[in-house]
Amino acid sequence: MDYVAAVEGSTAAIGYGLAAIGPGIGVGLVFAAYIQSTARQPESSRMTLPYVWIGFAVIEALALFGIAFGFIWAG
Amino acid sequence: MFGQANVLAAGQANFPPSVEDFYLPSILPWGAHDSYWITKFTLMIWIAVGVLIIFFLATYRNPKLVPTKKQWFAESIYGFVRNNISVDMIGHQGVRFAPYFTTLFCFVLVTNAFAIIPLFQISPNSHIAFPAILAVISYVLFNYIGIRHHGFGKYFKHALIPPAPWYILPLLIPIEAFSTFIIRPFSLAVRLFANMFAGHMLLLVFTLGGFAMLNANAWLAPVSVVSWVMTVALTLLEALVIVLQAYVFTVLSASYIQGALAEEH
Amino acid sequence: MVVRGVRHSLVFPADIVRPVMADDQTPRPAGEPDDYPSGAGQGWTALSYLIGGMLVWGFIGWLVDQWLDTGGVATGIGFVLGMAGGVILVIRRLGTPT
Repeated sequence: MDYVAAVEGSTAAIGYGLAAIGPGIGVGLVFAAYIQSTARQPESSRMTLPYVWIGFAVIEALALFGIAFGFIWAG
Repeated sequence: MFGQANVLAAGQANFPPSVEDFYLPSILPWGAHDSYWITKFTLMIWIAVGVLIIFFLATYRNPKLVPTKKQWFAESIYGFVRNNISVDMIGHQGVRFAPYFTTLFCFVLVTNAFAIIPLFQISPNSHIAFPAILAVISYVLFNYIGIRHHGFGKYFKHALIPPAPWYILPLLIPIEAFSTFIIRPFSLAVRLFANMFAGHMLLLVFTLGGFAMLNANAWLAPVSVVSWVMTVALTLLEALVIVLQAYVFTVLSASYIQGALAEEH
Repeated sequence: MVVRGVRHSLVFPADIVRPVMADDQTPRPAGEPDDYPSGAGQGWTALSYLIGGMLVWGFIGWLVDQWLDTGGVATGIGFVLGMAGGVILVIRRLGTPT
Protein backbone atom coordinates (compact mmCIF):
# COMPACT_ATOMS: atom_id res chain seq x y z
CA MET A 1 0.00 0.00 0.00
CA ASP A 2 1.44 3.39 -0.94
CA TYR A 3 1.71 5.95 1.79
CA VAL A 4 1.18 9.58 0.88
CA ALA A 5 2.67 10.90 4.10
CA ALA A 6 4.15 9.29 7.17
CA VAL A 7 5.41 10.32 10.53
CA GLU A 8 8.24 8.37 12.06
CA GLY A 9 9.24 8.17 15.63
CA SER A 10 7.84 7.27 18.95
CA THR A 11 4.19 7.95 19.69
CA ALA A 12 4.95 7.19 23.32
CA ALA A 13 7.01 10.35 23.42
CA ILE A 14 4.12 12.37 21.97
CA GLY A 15 1.79 10.71 24.46
CA TYR A 16 3.96 11.59 27.42
CA GLY A 17 4.34 15.16 26.25
CA LEU A 18 0.59 15.56 26.07
CA ALA A 19 0.15 13.79 29.41
CA ALA A 20 2.48 16.20 31.16
CA ILE A 21 0.34 19.25 30.40
CA GLY A 22 -2.42 18.52 32.92
CA PRO A 23 -0.32 17.76 35.98
CA GLY A 24 1.94 20.69 35.17
CA ILE A 25 -0.98 23.08 35.36
CA GLY A 26 -2.41 21.26 38.37
CA VAL A 27 0.72 21.46 40.50
CA GLY A 28 1.12 25.08 39.50
CA LEU A 29 -2.39 25.79 40.76
CA VAL A 30 -1.73 24.07 44.09
CA PHE A 31 1.40 26.01 44.84
CA ALA A 32 -0.12 29.25 43.56
CA ALA A 33 -2.98 28.78 46.01
CA TYR A 34 -0.54 28.13 48.84
CA ILE A 35 1.54 31.19 48.06
CA GLN A 36 -1.57 33.37 47.80
CA SER A 37 -3.04 32.11 51.05
CA THR A 38 0.28 32.61 52.83
CA ALA A 39 0.49 36.13 51.42
CA ARG A 40 -2.96 36.98 52.70
CA GLN A 41 -2.49 35.43 56.13
CA PRO A 42 1.07 34.36 56.99
CA GLU A 43 0.13 32.64 60.24
CA SER A 44 -1.88 30.09 58.32
CA SER A 45 1.11 28.83 56.33
CA ARG A 46 1.99 26.06 58.74
CA MET A 47 -1.59 24.88 58.88
CA THR A 48 -2.13 24.71 55.14
CA LEU A 49 1.23 23.11 54.27
CA PRO A 50 0.02 19.51 54.78
CA TYR A 51 -2.69 20.07 52.20
CA VAL A 52 -0.09 21.28 49.73
CA TRP A 53 1.63 17.91 49.94
CA ILE A 54 -1.60 15.95 49.61
CA GLY A 55 -2.56 17.89 46.51
CA PHE A 56 0.94 17.64 45.07
CA ALA A 57 1.10 13.89 45.60
CA VAL A 58 -2.25 13.09 44.03
CA ILE A 59 -1.61 15.29 40.99
CA GLU A 60 1.98 14.21 40.50
CA ALA A 61 0.82 10.59 40.57
CA LEU A 62 -0.70 11.09 37.14
CA ALA A 63 2.41 12.71 35.75
CA LEU A 64 4.54 9.83 37.01
CA PHE A 65 2.09 7.34 35.54
CA GLY A 66 2.62 9.13 32.25
CA ILE A 67 6.34 8.60 32.25
CA ALA A 68 6.12 5.01 33.52
CA PHE A 69 3.53 3.88 30.99
CA GLY A 70 5.40 5.75 28.31
CA PHE A 71 8.14 3.19 28.70
CA ILE A 72 5.81 0.23 29.13
CA TRP A 73 3.73 0.99 26.06
CA ALA A 74 6.60 2.08 23.86
CA GLY A 75 7.16 -1.41 22.50
CA MET B 1 43.28 22.82 31.17
CA PHE B 2 46.23 23.40 28.89
CA GLY B 3 45.24 20.64 26.50
CA GLN B 4 42.06 22.34 25.42
CA ALA B 5 43.67 25.75 25.11
CA ASN B 6 46.35 24.33 22.81
CA VAL B 7 43.75 22.62 20.68
CA LEU B 8 41.78 25.85 20.40
CA ALA B 9 44.92 27.76 19.47
CA ALA B 10 45.58 25.25 16.71
CA GLY B 11 42.25 26.21 15.16
CA GLN B 12 40.09 23.27 16.15
CA ALA B 13 37.49 22.98 18.87
CA ASN B 14 36.41 19.53 20.00
CA PHE B 15 32.73 20.31 19.78
CA PRO B 16 30.35 19.02 21.06
CA PRO B 17 31.84 18.40 24.52
CA SER B 18 31.35 14.94 25.93
CA VAL B 19 31.90 13.03 29.14
CA GLU B 20 35.51 12.50 28.04
CA ASP B 21 36.14 16.17 28.73
CA PHE B 22 35.58 15.48 32.42
CA TYR B 23 38.54 13.11 32.59
CA LEU B 24 41.56 15.29 33.18
CA PRO B 25 45.13 14.31 32.30
CA SER B 26 47.15 12.59 34.93
CA ILE B 27 49.74 14.69 36.79
CA LEU B 28 51.73 11.97 38.49
CA PRO B 29 52.99 10.20 36.38
CA TRP B 30 52.88 13.07 33.95
CA GLY B 31 50.70 12.43 30.91
CA ALA B 32 50.19 8.72 31.50
CA HIS B 33 47.16 7.19 29.83
CA ASP B 34 44.37 5.66 31.91
CA SER B 35 46.03 6.64 35.15
CA TYR B 36 43.69 8.79 37.21
CA TRP B 37 45.25 8.65 40.66
CA ILE B 38 46.81 12.11 40.82
CA THR B 39 45.02 14.58 38.58
CA LYS B 40 43.91 18.17 38.95
CA PHE B 41 40.99 16.88 41.03
CA THR B 42 43.37 15.49 43.64
CA LEU B 43 45.12 18.85 43.86
CA MET B 44 41.77 20.62 44.17
CA ILE B 45 40.63 18.44 47.04
CA TRP B 46 43.92 18.95 48.86
CA ILE B 47 43.71 22.69 48.30
CA ALA B 48 40.11 22.76 49.57
CA VAL B 49 41.03 20.86 52.73
CA GLY B 50 44.09 23.02 53.27
CA VAL B 51 42.21 26.27 52.76
CA LEU B 52 39.49 25.28 55.23
CA ILE B 53 41.90 24.10 57.92
CA ILE B 54 44.15 27.14 57.60
CA PHE B 55 41.23 29.56 57.46
CA PHE B 56 39.52 28.36 60.61
CA LEU B 57 42.80 27.92 62.48
CA ALA B 58 44.14 31.33 61.57
CA THR B 59 40.95 33.25 62.29
CA TYR B 60 40.63 31.64 65.71
CA ARG B 61 44.26 31.95 66.74
CA ASN B 62 43.63 34.57 69.43
CA PRO B 63 39.89 34.91 69.80
CA LYS B 64 38.78 38.16 71.34
CA LEU B 65 35.47 39.08 72.90
CA VAL B 66 35.08 41.93 70.41
CA PRO B 67 35.92 40.05 67.23
CA THR B 68 38.42 41.17 64.66
CA LYS B 69 37.27 41.21 61.05
CA LYS B 70 38.60 37.74 60.23
CA GLN B 71 37.20 36.27 63.43
CA TRP B 72 33.85 37.90 62.69
CA PHE B 73 33.79 36.34 59.24
CA ALA B 74 34.50 32.86 60.54
CA GLU B 75 31.96 33.34 63.31
CA SER B 76 29.37 34.48 60.79
CA ILE B 77 29.78 31.32 58.75
CA TYR B 78 29.55 29.12 61.82
CA GLY B 79 26.66 31.17 63.19
CA PHE B 80 24.73 30.94 59.95
CA VAL B 81 25.06 27.15 59.81
CA ARG B 82 24.39 26.72 63.51
CA ASN B 83 21.34 29.00 63.71
CA ASN B 84 19.70 28.63 60.33
CA ILE B 85 20.46 24.97 59.71
CA SER B 86 21.23 23.07 62.90
CA VAL B 87 18.99 24.73 65.44
CA ASP B 88 16.26 25.50 62.92
CA MET B 89 15.96 21.88 61.80
CA ILE B 90 16.93 19.85 64.85
CA GLY B 91 16.17 22.15 67.74
CA HIS B 92 18.26 22.54 70.86
CA GLN B 93 20.25 19.37 70.23
CA GLY B 94 21.32 20.82 66.91
CA VAL B 95 24.26 22.61 68.47
CA ARG B 96 25.94 19.21 68.89
CA PHE B 97 25.94 18.71 65.12
CA ALA B 98 26.85 22.26 64.14
CA PRO B 99 30.60 21.54 63.69
CA TYR B 100 29.87 18.67 61.30
CA PHE B 101 27.38 20.74 59.32
CA THR B 102 29.73 23.71 59.13
CA THR B 103 32.52 21.50 57.82
CA LEU B 104 30.17 19.85 55.35
CA PHE B 105 28.76 23.14 54.13
CA CYS B 106 32.15 24.83 53.75
CA PHE B 107 33.75 21.83 52.07
CA VAL B 108 30.93 21.43 49.55
CA LEU B 109 30.95 25.20 48.96
CA VAL B 110 34.70 25.36 48.32
CA THR B 111 34.79 22.29 46.07
CA ASN B 112 31.75 23.54 44.16
CA ALA B 113 33.31 26.96 43.80
CA PHE B 114 36.23 25.48 41.88
CA ALA B 115 33.82 25.25 38.95
CA ILE B 116 33.99 28.97 38.29
CA ILE B 117 37.43 29.92 39.64
CA PRO B 118 39.93 30.59 36.82
CA LEU B 119 42.63 27.98 36.23
CA PHE B 120 40.51 25.31 37.97
CA GLN B 121 37.21 25.71 36.15
CA ILE B 122 35.86 22.29 37.06
CA SER B 123 34.44 21.05 40.31
CA PRO B 124 35.56 17.72 41.81
CA ASN B 125 31.88 17.16 42.58
CA SER B 126 31.25 16.64 38.88
CA HIS B 127 32.63 13.14 39.41
CA ILE B 128 30.11 11.01 41.28
CA ALA B 129 32.74 9.69 43.71
CA PHE B 130 33.06 12.82 45.84
CA PRO B 131 29.35 13.52 46.42
CA ALA B 132 28.86 9.79 46.95
CA ILE B 133 31.32 9.70 49.85
CA LEU B 134 29.78 12.80 51.42
CA ALA B 135 26.32 11.26 51.09
CA VAL B 136 27.54 7.99 52.64
CA ILE B 137 28.94 9.91 55.61
CA SER B 138 25.63 11.69 56.20
CA TYR B 139 23.75 8.40 55.71
CA VAL B 140 25.84 6.50 58.23
CA LEU B 141 25.58 9.43 60.63
CA PHE B 142 21.82 9.76 60.65
CA ASN B 143 21.29 6.02 60.97
CA TYR B 144 23.84 5.77 63.76
CA ILE B 145 22.28 8.68 65.64
CA GLY B 146 18.84 7.11 65.26
CA ILE B 147 19.96 3.69 66.44
CA ARG B 148 21.83 5.17 69.37
CA HIS B 149 18.85 7.30 70.40
CA HIS B 150 16.07 4.76 70.01
CA GLY B 151 17.73 1.39 70.20
CA PHE B 152 18.19 -0.87 67.19
CA GLY B 153 14.74 -2.46 66.88
CA LYS B 154 12.73 0.57 67.89
CA TYR B 155 14.55 2.80 65.42
CA PHE B 156 13.61 0.60 62.48
CA LYS B 157 10.09 0.21 63.79
CA HIS B 158 9.79 3.97 64.07
CA ALA B 159 11.31 4.62 60.68
CA LEU B 160 9.52 1.96 58.68
CA ILE B 161 5.99 1.81 60.07
CA PRO B 162 3.79 4.71 59.01
CA PRO B 163 0.57 5.64 60.79
CA ALA B 164 -1.89 3.61 58.74
CA PRO B 165 -4.38 0.79 59.33
CA TRP B 166 -2.74 -2.61 59.66
CA TYR B 167 -4.10 -4.08 56.46
CA ILE B 168 -2.38 -1.52 54.22
CA LEU B 169 0.99 -1.80 56.00
CA PRO B 170 2.40 -4.56 53.74
CA LEU B 171 1.91 -2.22 50.81
CA LEU B 172 3.55 0.73 52.54
CA ILE B 173 6.53 -0.76 54.34
CA PRO B 174 8.63 -1.64 51.25
CA ILE B 175 8.02 1.88 49.95
CA GLU B 176 9.12 3.41 53.27
CA ALA B 177 12.21 1.23 53.43
CA PHE B 178 13.19 2.06 49.87
CA SER B 179 12.54 5.76 50.37
CA THR B 180 14.42 6.11 53.66
CA PHE B 181 17.35 3.79 53.22
CA ILE B 182 18.02 3.83 49.50
CA ILE B 183 16.62 6.96 47.92
CA ARG B 184 17.92 9.34 50.60
CA PRO B 185 21.67 8.79 50.21
CA PHE B 186 21.30 8.23 46.48
CA SER B 187 19.44 11.47 45.92
CA LEU B 188 21.82 13.44 48.13
CA ALA B 189 24.76 12.33 46.02
CA VAL B 190 23.08 12.54 42.62
CA ARG B 191 21.57 15.97 43.27
CA LEU B 192 24.98 17.50 43.93
CA PHE B 193 26.68 15.54 41.15
CA ALA B 194 24.06 16.33 38.51
CA ASN B 195 24.06 20.05 39.29
CA MET B 196 27.84 20.32 39.05
CA PHE B 197 28.05 18.10 35.96
CA ALA B 198 25.33 19.97 34.13
CA GLY B 199 26.73 23.37 35.07
CA HIS B 200 30.18 22.50 33.76
CA MET B 201 28.71 20.95 30.62
CA LEU B 202 26.71 24.11 29.89
CA LEU B 203 29.77 26.31 30.23
CA LEU B 204 31.71 23.96 27.96
CA VAL B 205 28.98 23.99 25.31
CA PHE B 206 28.78 27.75 25.09
CA THR B 207 32.51 28.37 25.26
CA LEU B 208 33.55 25.69 22.78
CA GLY B 209 30.54 26.46 20.61
CA GLY B 210 31.75 30.00 20.20
CA PHE B 211 35.13 28.78 19.03
CA ALA B 212 33.62 26.12 16.81
CA MET B 213 31.44 28.65 15.04
CA LEU B 214 34.37 31.01 14.62
CA ASN B 215 36.51 28.28 13.12
CA ALA B 216 33.76 27.10 10.81
CA ASN B 217 32.97 30.45 9.23
CA ALA B 218 34.51 33.82 10.03
CA TRP B 219 31.22 35.63 9.34
CA LEU B 220 29.74 33.89 12.38
CA ALA B 221 31.87 36.02 14.68
CA PRO B 222 28.94 38.06 16.12
CA VAL B 223 27.12 34.81 16.98
CA SER B 224 30.27 33.62 18.70
CA VAL B 225 30.29 36.77 20.80
CA VAL B 226 26.67 36.12 21.79
CA SER B 227 27.69 32.61 22.77
CA TRP B 228 30.45 33.94 24.99
CA VAL B 229 28.11 36.46 26.59
CA MET B 230 25.85 33.51 27.43
CA THR B 231 28.87 31.88 29.04
CA VAL B 232 29.28 34.89 31.31
CA ALA B 233 25.60 34.86 32.24
CA LEU B 234 25.73 31.13 32.94
CA THR B 235 28.77 31.61 35.15
CA LEU B 236 26.73 33.95 37.32
CA LEU B 237 23.92 31.39 37.42
CA GLU B 238 26.50 28.76 38.33
CA ALA B 239 27.59 30.88 41.28
CA LEU B 240 24.01 30.82 42.58
CA VAL B 241 23.75 27.05 42.04
CA ILE B 242 27.04 26.51 43.89
CA VAL B 243 25.85 28.20 47.07
CA LEU B 244 22.36 26.72 46.79
CA GLN B 245 23.57 23.14 46.36
CA ALA B 246 25.92 23.41 49.33
CA TYR B 247 23.03 24.75 51.42
CA VAL B 248 20.57 22.11 50.24
CA PHE B 249 23.02 19.27 50.96
CA THR B 250 23.54 20.49 54.51
CA VAL B 251 19.87 21.25 55.17
CA LEU B 252 18.78 17.82 53.99
CA SER B 253 21.43 16.11 56.12
CA ALA B 254 20.13 18.10 59.11
CA SER B 255 16.54 17.17 58.29
CA TYR B 256 17.43 13.46 58.13
CA ILE B 257 19.10 13.67 61.52
CA GLN B 258 16.04 15.46 62.86
CA GLY B 259 13.85 12.69 61.50
CA ALA B 260 16.05 10.10 63.19
CA LEU B 261 15.81 11.89 66.53
CA ALA B 262 12.07 12.53 66.42
CA GLU B 263 9.96 10.72 68.99
CA GLU B 264 7.15 8.29 68.33
CA HIS B 265 3.91 9.54 66.81
CA MET C 1 -4.10 51.46 72.74
CA VAL C 2 -6.30 54.07 71.12
CA VAL C 3 -5.06 55.94 68.06
CA ARG C 4 -7.22 58.83 66.92
CA GLY C 5 -10.24 57.30 68.48
CA VAL C 6 -9.69 53.83 67.00
CA ARG C 7 -8.68 50.98 69.24
CA HIS C 8 -5.54 49.15 67.99
CA SER C 9 -4.11 45.95 69.32
CA LEU C 10 -0.56 46.16 70.63
CA VAL C 11 0.26 42.84 69.05
CA PHE C 12 1.26 43.51 65.47
CA PRO C 13 0.94 40.60 63.01
CA ALA C 14 4.65 40.82 62.24
CA ASP C 15 5.48 39.89 65.83
CA ILE C 16 3.98 36.49 65.34
CA VAL C 17 6.88 35.77 63.00
CA ARG C 18 9.65 34.07 64.92
CA PRO C 19 12.36 36.50 66.06
CA VAL C 20 15.50 36.43 63.98
CA MET C 21 18.15 37.18 66.62
CA ALA C 22 20.12 34.12 67.55
CA ASP C 23 19.83 34.69 71.27
CA ASP C 24 16.13 35.32 71.20
CA GLN C 25 15.26 32.06 69.58
CA THR C 26 13.24 29.56 71.52
CA PRO C 27 14.56 26.43 69.85
CA ARG C 28 11.99 24.02 68.55
CA PRO C 29 11.98 21.01 70.86
CA ALA C 30 13.14 17.95 69.01
CA GLY C 31 10.66 15.20 69.56
CA GLU C 32 7.24 16.76 69.23
CA PRO C 33 4.78 14.20 67.97
CA ASP C 34 4.28 14.52 64.20
CA ASP C 35 7.52 16.45 64.00
CA TYR C 36 8.46 15.97 60.38
CA PRO C 37 11.11 17.77 58.29
CA SER C 38 9.98 21.17 57.12
CA GLY C 39 10.09 22.89 53.79
CA ALA C 40 12.59 21.42 51.39
CA GLY C 41 12.77 18.17 53.31
CA GLN C 42 9.04 17.61 52.96
CA GLY C 43 9.10 18.27 49.26
CA TRP C 44 11.83 15.77 48.58
CA THR C 45 10.15 13.26 50.93
CA ALA C 46 6.87 13.54 49.03
CA LEU C 47 8.61 13.08 45.70
CA SER C 48 10.65 10.15 46.96
CA TYR C 49 7.54 8.38 48.30
CA LEU C 50 5.81 8.74 44.94
CA ILE C 51 8.72 7.67 42.79
CA GLY C 52 9.93 5.07 45.28
CA GLY C 53 6.49 3.52 45.57
CA MET C 54 6.23 3.20 41.82
CA LEU C 55 9.73 1.77 41.49
CA VAL C 56 9.50 -0.75 44.32
CA TRP C 57 6.12 -2.20 43.44
CA GLY C 58 6.77 -1.90 39.71
CA PHE C 59 9.91 -3.96 40.25
CA ILE C 60 8.04 -6.53 42.33
CA GLY C 61 5.36 -6.60 39.65
CA TRP C 62 8.03 -7.14 37.01
CA LEU C 63 9.49 -10.04 39.02
CA VAL C 64 6.01 -11.58 39.24
CA ASP C 65 5.76 -11.02 35.49
CA GLN C 66 8.95 -12.96 34.82
CA TRP C 67 7.85 -15.70 37.17
CA LEU C 68 4.29 -16.14 35.90
CA ASP C 69 4.95 -14.95 32.31
CA THR C 70 1.89 -12.71 32.18
CA GLY C 71 3.38 -10.33 29.61
CA GLY C 72 3.36 -6.90 31.26
CA VAL C 73 0.08 -6.97 33.16
CA ALA C 74 1.70 -7.62 36.52
CA THR C 75 4.17 -4.80 36.00
CA GLY C 76 1.34 -2.40 35.24
CA ILE C 77 -0.61 -3.50 38.31
CA GLY C 78 2.56 -3.12 40.36
CA PHE C 79 3.04 0.45 39.13
CA VAL C 80 -0.53 1.42 39.95
CA LEU C 81 -0.44 -0.24 43.39
CA GLY C 82 2.91 1.34 44.14
CA MET C 83 1.65 4.76 43.18
CA ALA C 84 -1.41 4.28 45.36
CA GLY C 85 0.86 3.27 48.23
CA GLY C 86 3.05 6.31 47.66
CA VAL C 87 0.06 8.65 47.69
CA ILE C 88 -1.27 7.01 50.89
CA LEU C 89 2.14 7.46 52.52
CA VAL C 90 2.32 11.12 51.58
CA ILE C 91 -1.16 11.74 52.91
CA ARG C 92 -0.47 9.88 56.16
CA ARG C 93 3.02 11.22 56.86
CA LEU C 94 2.85 14.73 55.48
CA GLY C 95 -0.86 15.42 55.22
CA THR C 96 -1.92 15.34 58.81
CA PRO C 97 -2.02 18.88 60.15
CA THR C 98 -0.15 19.52 63.39
